[in-house]
Amino acid sequence: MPSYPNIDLLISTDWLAANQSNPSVKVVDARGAQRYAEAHIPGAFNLPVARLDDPTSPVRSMPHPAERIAQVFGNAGLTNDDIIVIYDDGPSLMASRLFWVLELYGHQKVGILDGGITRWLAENREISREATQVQASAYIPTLQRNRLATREDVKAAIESKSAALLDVRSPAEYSGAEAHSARGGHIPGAKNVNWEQTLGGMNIPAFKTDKELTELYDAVGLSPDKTVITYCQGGVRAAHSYYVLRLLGYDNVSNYTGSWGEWGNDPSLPAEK
Amino acid sequence: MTTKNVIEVDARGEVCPVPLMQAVAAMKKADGDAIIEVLIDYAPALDTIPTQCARLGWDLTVEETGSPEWKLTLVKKS
Repeated sequence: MPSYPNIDLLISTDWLAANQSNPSVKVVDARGAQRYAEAHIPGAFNLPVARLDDPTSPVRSMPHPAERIAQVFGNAGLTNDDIIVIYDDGPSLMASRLFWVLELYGHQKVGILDGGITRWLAENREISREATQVQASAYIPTLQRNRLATREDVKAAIESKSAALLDVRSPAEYSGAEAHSARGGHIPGAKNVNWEQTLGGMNIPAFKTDKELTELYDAVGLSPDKTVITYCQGGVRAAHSYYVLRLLGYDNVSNYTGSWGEWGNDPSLPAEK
Repeated sequence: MTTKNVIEVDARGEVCPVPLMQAVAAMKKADGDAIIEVLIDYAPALDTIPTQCARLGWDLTVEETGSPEWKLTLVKKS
């Protein structure tokens, strides 16, 4: 496994296999219910990431407020001191989204399973098709406001140049050639590093190496000492790049979860093509 | 009377950009008589899929089928 500055955020299948029986280790499958039912890692609780969003928020992809998150995580049997290992079966888009929400609410010990269930299966490890039953627990979320960027935060960052804006959509979305909002383009001053450029691996999903990722972000002027706001269309790809930056040792990273879905639909906000 | 071919795209459990990509792929592949039913549980796709339907010439209706879950019915504009 490659080394990264924050290697604790990437969990190996060997480590998980050796620590599955530890009651403080909680495994969470972030996929939809159907794929969880087909096969999952024994003991994994299913927490589809779509269930993390607040349907009453005017911002489509805004996570639930703390009171509701306490219920969601509590019903998943999670406690604040748990070591949470998240996985999905793709390039960790879903896992990264849950990772971000957990950090947003102050969880300290959380990581993503390297290669997800795809690697687990490739290594012929044990699987389960029985839904994991858990005892509800008390979870106390503490909002880490610095992990969330709102529209107002982004406007302030543009004016003060206090944070770098990282647009992680495709180049076509960034340029406005492809638009999924009322208008195309990007937030003024944002640099474009497509989230897909962070991916390595062929048959098993993986992240590029520390060196490759560092070069990728260095090319647009980013470094771990910078404050970075990631965004995409709806805050999921942005959560993936958020995770990659955290893996690289960036401390001051936030996700503008409203993303272009909010910004591109508001003609009062400035845009570039 | 002709019976329309119904194509179901089950994108439940998927997040951005997968539901949009699956819906667009179905629209590009479908013939004009097809009806496409897209099942989603990821709310931001309620914005992205309609935008592409409009661009590709499909009418769309949205039915809330769960919490959170929606069925999007796509019909090619005549």
